[in-house]
Amino acid sequence: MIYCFHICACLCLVIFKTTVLPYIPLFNTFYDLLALYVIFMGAFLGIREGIPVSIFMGLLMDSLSGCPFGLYLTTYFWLYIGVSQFKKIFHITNYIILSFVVAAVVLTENMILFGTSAMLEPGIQFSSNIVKSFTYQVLWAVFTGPLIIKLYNFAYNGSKRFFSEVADVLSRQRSSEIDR
Amino acid sequence: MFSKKIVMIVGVIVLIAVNLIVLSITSRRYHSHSFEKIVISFVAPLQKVVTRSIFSVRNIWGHYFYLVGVKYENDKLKQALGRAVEKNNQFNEIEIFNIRLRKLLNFRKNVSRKMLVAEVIGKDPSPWFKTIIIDKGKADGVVKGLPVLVPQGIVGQIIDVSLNSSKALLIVDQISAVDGLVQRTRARGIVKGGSSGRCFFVYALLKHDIKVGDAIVSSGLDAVFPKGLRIGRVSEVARLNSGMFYEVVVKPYVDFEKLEEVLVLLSPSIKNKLISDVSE
Repeated sequence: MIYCFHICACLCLVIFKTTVLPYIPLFNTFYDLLALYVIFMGAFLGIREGIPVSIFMGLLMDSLSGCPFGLYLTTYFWLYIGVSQFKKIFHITNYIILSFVVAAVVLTENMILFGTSAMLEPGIQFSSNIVKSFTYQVLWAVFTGPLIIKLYNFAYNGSKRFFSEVADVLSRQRSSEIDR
Repeated sequence: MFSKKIVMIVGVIVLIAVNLIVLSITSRRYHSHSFEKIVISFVAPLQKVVTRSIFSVRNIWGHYFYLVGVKYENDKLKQALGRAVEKNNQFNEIEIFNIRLRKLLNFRKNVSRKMLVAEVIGKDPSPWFKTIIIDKGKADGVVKGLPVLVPQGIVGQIIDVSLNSSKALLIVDQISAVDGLVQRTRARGIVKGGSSGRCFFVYALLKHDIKVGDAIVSSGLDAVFPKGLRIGRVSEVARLNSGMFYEVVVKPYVDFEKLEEVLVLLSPSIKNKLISDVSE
């Protein structure tokens, strides 16, 4: 059941990013919301949920984007591994450390994507526009990232509670039917 | 025999190596996968619903709440219409002249292609790659490789098709290439996508004359885009001392940030019709 929540969340984030955000002037330099979801999974969820969901997210983005197939899959997978390893050393739920992690993840993701672009077109230069794009995304991430992660966590816990309540009700109904 | 730590390190190294090999293979050419088609056909209807809702909200805002500048805009539009009518008359004259010349030379009207209007329902989720998703697919006759245009010029070409939606690669994407010509001097080259919404006109020989402001049009030699479609205007020209080619930066005529509807040029149907029939 919880995988349904993850699939719905990923689809909503992708649709929001591809349809709503491009039409809002200030948000056209916004960072990747799915990368934040990877941090959320790395920080709060276990490997059993984290790895399949990050692979699904990667495949989803690879399918919708014009990038080489497997690029997002690779990025999300290794980012997830990185965050989950980082969690073992630092107390990641701390707001300041979380801001730092968000900034690092957004920067790393952009570096990987830019590196791939540079690989595809060897003449590409690290221009001021690219620096500007990196800076905006990192700034957005530092100020809004931890809040959005908390929001993901809140929605996740809420849905988990809801699913367990539904499961309880169903099991009670079943047992009462068996008793009859 | 080996400790758990060594096995894990070797495992991670092997995984990274496999990952890099697979990525380098897939990045050489754009491959479409069946999973991609499934995802697009599942996500596209949702994107369509959201995009339509945004447009309808914007329309309501534009029609009912944002009427302050309408009167002023109306006056301006009337003036523009007057100018357009005048220009249209000139074009009609030129067209008649052209028909007469063609008749004289016994030219044939060569290719006529049907166009399909499609709505842009999604943009690339990554800022580093430039694709769009449109609401027409296999069911409407769209196939891989068809050119996508707007009246201002070339937008790109279809790279992936599902039943009711398709993915188009924009000409500003780094893996895009269009065979082009400088309209004034007929110098040939390839229009390649570059960073920050610009293109590069590469392989243009130094012996040709290329200036800032020259229009670049499609040459028709790539068998994708018909000849003579507008691509962009030359914004920078550099002549390097070493090398055979110019370094030319092209600013596309199309504003890719504001794409809402596009035209897909369907498969060509050759009409061997004499110009005399046209004039009739």
